[in-house]
Amino acid sequence: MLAAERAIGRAMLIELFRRKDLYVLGLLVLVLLGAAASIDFFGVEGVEAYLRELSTTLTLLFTVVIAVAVVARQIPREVERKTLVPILAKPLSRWQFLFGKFLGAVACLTAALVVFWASSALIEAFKGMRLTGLLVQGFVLQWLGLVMLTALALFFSTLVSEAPVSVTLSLLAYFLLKGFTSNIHILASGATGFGASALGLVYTVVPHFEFYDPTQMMAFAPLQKALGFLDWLFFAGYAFGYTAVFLAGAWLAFRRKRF
Amino acid sequence: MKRFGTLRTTLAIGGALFLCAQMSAEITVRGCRLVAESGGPGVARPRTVLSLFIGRVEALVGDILLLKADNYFHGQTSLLGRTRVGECEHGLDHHAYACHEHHEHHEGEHHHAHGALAYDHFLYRQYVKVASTAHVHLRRHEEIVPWLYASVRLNPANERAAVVAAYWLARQLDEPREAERVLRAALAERPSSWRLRAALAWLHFDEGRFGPALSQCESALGLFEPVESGEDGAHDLAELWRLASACQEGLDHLDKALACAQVVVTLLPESEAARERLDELKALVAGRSEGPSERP
Repeated sequence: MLAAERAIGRAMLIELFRRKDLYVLGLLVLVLLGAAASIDFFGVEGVEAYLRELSTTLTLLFTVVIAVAVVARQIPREVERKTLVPILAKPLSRWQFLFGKFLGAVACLTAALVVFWASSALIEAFKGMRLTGLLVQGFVLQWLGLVMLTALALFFSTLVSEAPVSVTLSLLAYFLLKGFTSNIHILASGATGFGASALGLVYTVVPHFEFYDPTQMMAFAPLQKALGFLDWLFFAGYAFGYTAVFLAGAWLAFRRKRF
Repeated sequence: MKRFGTLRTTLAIGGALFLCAQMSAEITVRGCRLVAESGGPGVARPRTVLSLFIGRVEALVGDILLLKADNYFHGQTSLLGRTRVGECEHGLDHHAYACHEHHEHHEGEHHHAHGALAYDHFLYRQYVKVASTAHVHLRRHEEIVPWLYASVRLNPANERAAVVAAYWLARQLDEPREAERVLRAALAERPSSWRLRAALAWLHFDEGRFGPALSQCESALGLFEPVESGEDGAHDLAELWRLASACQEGLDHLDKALACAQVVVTLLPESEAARERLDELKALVAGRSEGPSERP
């Protein structure tokens, strides 16, 4: 079952490990966090929130870069190399091809996330920080958001034929959505009548990538409450729901595309 | 070779920008040297165009990091004026406790538990669960130090950052020497800042070093420029005179302390505390003048 999709995904994963991006960024996480951990802040002891915040931010940023760089250029590059037509000539539907690419991208981002989180945990442990259960929650939360982003990047890669355009579009969409949607409530709380309804609608419809940024949660880990079962149900359902929407969009754009 | 097209263009543009930056930097350095040789303004620190630009970015980042420290402490109350729904978990009791523990905190500064934004979207309620700023107020004060550290390092000229950092180091974290270092580094950048001198004076006063405290306080009074108009400006000035009075009292110059306290009453005629302080000093001076005659 899913043998063709798995084969496509495996090829993507192998490519990720052949490239140097992952190792370079993993090393960069270690160096940056190591440097940050070694700073003496006026001789004050017991300071750790800044390091957690920094590590979560770096981990998210680098995994976003890896995930987008891997997935957004998949289809444009296949077209550019003229390898897409031979692949589609095999007994493989376009949906299977797309889903295989998606699975491969998810495998790549999971590998990247594990490498970056392990680097962060190593530095934190070295500094004598207590590794709490919230680390696992933060990891899963980031993973869900990145799965959603992967589907969005795949959708963009089916729309445009140039890999750099696809990468730029995906990164732009991600950072704009993540940065601005969280502020709609500020506008909405000051608006009345139609304006408030319109903003409320926009807030409901746009995908909320900021849900999957656990930076604040991680920074205040010793003081923060863990998420409950119903919260997890919501966050997982929301991420997989939007992932399905983006994949459906990608399939609609890809199924009749001529190369 | 086609696939390297973007890379080649980027490299070419990057190279051109680098060369332009280098040339402008060289021209600026030469210009600064000429100015330095002629003894004109700008002698102290010749800067390149590039370093001027980076310097401004550094200063900006430093100022943002001060907000970050404040965010850690107050949970974004200072940015929005009040907090977001669900961010404040400690409840109303916190206010009474905070006021009890820190006399520096006034009730008016704590808007967050009273005035949460009325936005009740179901998605927003979920968002707050992962993005809430569980602020460290009265729990882990030391967590704000890295942001203050970065803020004063990136922008030593930001007097507010230096004063806030010095306050936390000296009064909450028991590091008065570090606080003094921060203030002196900021004073090197802004020697005419009365706020920095006032903070240094308070630092010396808290350690019982009344002479240096008075010296800094007098400098601050000489440099004083009210930032806030009206009542707040008068309060700032009165605070300096109050410190001067306390320093004079510490040095056993009761007449001078009395004179300073009278200035405080003139500046704040409505203040009961200022009047009480004046009466207290008057009694002390009277006691002193009666004292020798009672001796055998």
